[in-house]
Amino acid sequence: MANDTVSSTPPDLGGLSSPGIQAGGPIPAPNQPMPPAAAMSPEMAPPAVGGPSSPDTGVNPAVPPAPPKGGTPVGTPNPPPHARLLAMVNGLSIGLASFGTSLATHGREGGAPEVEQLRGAQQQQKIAAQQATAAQKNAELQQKLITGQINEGNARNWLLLQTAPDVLAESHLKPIAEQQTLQTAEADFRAAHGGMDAATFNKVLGDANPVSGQSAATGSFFLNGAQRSLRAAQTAQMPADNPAMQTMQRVLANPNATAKELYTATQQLELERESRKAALAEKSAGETAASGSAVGKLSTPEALAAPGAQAAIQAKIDDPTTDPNDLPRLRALIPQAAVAQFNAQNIKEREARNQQIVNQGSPDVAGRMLADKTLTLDELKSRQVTPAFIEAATAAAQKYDPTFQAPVAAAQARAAATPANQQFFGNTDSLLVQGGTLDQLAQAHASLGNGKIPIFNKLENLRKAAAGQGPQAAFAAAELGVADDYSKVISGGAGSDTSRQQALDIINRDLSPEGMSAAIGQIRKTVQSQRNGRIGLNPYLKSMFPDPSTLQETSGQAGTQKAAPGSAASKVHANLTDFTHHFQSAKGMIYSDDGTTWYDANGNLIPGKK
Amino acid sequence: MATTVNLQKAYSKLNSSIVELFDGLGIHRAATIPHVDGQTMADHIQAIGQVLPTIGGVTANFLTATHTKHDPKGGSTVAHSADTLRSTIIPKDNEQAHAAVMAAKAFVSDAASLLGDDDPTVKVAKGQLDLFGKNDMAGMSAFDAGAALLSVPGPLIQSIARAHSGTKAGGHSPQLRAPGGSAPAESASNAPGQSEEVGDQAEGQEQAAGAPAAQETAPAAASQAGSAPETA
Repeated sequence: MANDTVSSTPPDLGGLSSPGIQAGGPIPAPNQPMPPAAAMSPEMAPPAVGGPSSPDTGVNPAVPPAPPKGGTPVGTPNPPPHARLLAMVNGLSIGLASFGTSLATHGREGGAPEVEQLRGAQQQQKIAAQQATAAQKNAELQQKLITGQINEGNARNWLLLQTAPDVLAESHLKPIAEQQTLQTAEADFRAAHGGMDAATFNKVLGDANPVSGQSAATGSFFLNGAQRSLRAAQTAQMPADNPAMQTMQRVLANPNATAKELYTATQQLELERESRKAALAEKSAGETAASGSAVGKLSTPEALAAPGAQAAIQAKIDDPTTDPNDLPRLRALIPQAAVAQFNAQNIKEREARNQQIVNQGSPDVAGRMLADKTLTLDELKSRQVTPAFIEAATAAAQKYDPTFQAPVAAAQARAAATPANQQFFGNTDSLLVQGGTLDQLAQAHASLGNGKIPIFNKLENLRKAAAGQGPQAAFAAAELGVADDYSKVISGGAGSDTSRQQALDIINRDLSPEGMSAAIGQIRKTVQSQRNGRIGLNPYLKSMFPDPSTLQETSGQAGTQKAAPGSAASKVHANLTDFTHHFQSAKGMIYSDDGTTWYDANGNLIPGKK
Repeated sequence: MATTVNLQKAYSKLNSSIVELFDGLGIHRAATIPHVDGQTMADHIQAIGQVLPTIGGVTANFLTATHTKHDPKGGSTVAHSADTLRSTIIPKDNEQAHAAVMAAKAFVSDAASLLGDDDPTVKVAKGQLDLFGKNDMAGMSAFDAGAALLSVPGPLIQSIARAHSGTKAGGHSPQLRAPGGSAPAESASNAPGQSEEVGDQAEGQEQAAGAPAAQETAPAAASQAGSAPETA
């Protein structure tokens, strides 16, 4: 499309204004071929205009038309008066002048050459005059052309303007993709700001009136957002003394709070929560990295469940090259190892018993154990029994327990065997088992003299003290172990400093013997409650994770207590823990395989115990 | 809300300011063809086509056209004799000339808000305005002044029309076309002068308020100028 309305180099239009032969002389005729001789022959008949069949037009091209009445044809220029005479006089004057010049110069000048020169000069004057006329006509045409171009440009501008909307915004000129991006961004903004666009949102923020006076939708957006943020912070266990929390609670309690105040408090609290989240993630990453250390390797589930784990941990504690900072964690690992070994032993016993049932080939026994939840269908299937055996065992189970339903039982058993439950019960039992971390704490506290009881009200102080030596360090280590296990139980996972601090607060509330006993009792009760809640109505959980109070943690012996040599029990199992059942009773720990014949901790048969 | 501009209104204002400049210089109008209420675009073009041959044709007259909706007088096409304009010099401190330059600057400013100050056409337009707008065109012939004022917006309008065309499905931007897509039907079927009815709802409503678009007088001049060889 042309941009220039006015052309900078106008074309020469002189030729258009003066058609015909120019004054510069006639245009030489091209070498045209001669017509054929026949065409020049006088015998050639005149052309028959219109043909023989056409009507007679009455025109004979061989005869020139008669001149109109009055003489000269129309268009013939009138010659000037005495033109011929003037031409003769002019020619005579030129000739005489040239003759005179020739006489005066004895033939050196003048004569015929001067006549030719004068004629040439006259011809040049005519040409110049004609060119001047042509230039003037050219200029006039250029002006007309420019005027036309300007008018055309004006019209084109109008035309182009009307290809677009009357009112234009910058967004109207952006490609569709950009417009969609803008629309999406606006939609996202509205979605995140209670349906308000940016302008409305800014207006509301700038309003000094209480948000309660705003429209219902606007007010609820700011109020609900603030309340939601506060609940999220509380769920994340953000300390109540956090300035952002306090600000939010103060603003929410103010009935005259403005939208800006609510929004600012919300943003600050969200920022604080994000910062805490990032800090915890960073800390968790650090702990993950620490899992590759010596302590980390000893604390894996496999290492804890391995026979001799407690001895290995104790050796690490006694090793003078061990980093003192690792000692508290190592001490806390001992009861965890005991529980892990017990669970491993339990699983091993179950597997041996299941194999025995399969070997016996008695579906009735299998059915009885399915009914009392000491055997699961998955365990049975893992023994590569035939479908017929499983069917018969299931039928037998329904005979012992008419409410037995294989699918329900299978689901409950699978839920019980999840790693999450293994970890959870490992943590609870690490606290509750006899000789566990709670008992260690009680012992460590008892070993402290009056007036030497330190107060570790902060985790950092506790960690530093636990790295030292002596009764106070032992107490600190025990306290740290309890706090760590308690945290894992309460949070249901890896634990957090917040829940560790909660345990610490409970323990430090009263450090007198009575107060310590009460604190330990409270923690035990809390953990036991968590444990019972997890077991719920799932009988398999109860079977797989028996009451830890029936277990006795003996350092270096848990899970591998040997039956006394020569005793009745030793003839059945080398280790007392190999018995299927072991319960804490008035006679202490008792052991049995079939629930009928029982042995005490010394391996002696208990008469009459059914 | 994004800033909006009305280029048709600004261009109409520029045309009317040129008319006032010519009138103020004492140059008689060769013709004034007003838009008659209810007159269609075709009728108005026909009226101009009947008038122009009687006053020397489109190449002997400087035509200006105002918008039907944006001109307080209802819009008209005005012709001034080009020869008279060439022989008339704008004096110093002429108010109408100053108003015409300001109208041109306003249009350039509006266009710059759409295209951006870095757009080459905007830079050129501002440069041209600074050049001949100095001293409010004093000493220039009326014809040159009018030609200069109408020449400045041309490239800007072309850029805007081109950019707006790119926003349409099947527009000049190839990446916006679906594979195998054809040219939009509206580009072939829209009558000249009929404004686009794309964009947001507000645009559509405003366009509807100014309907029928065919009544606008500007296209009349367009058609007439386009047929200059016939009428000259």
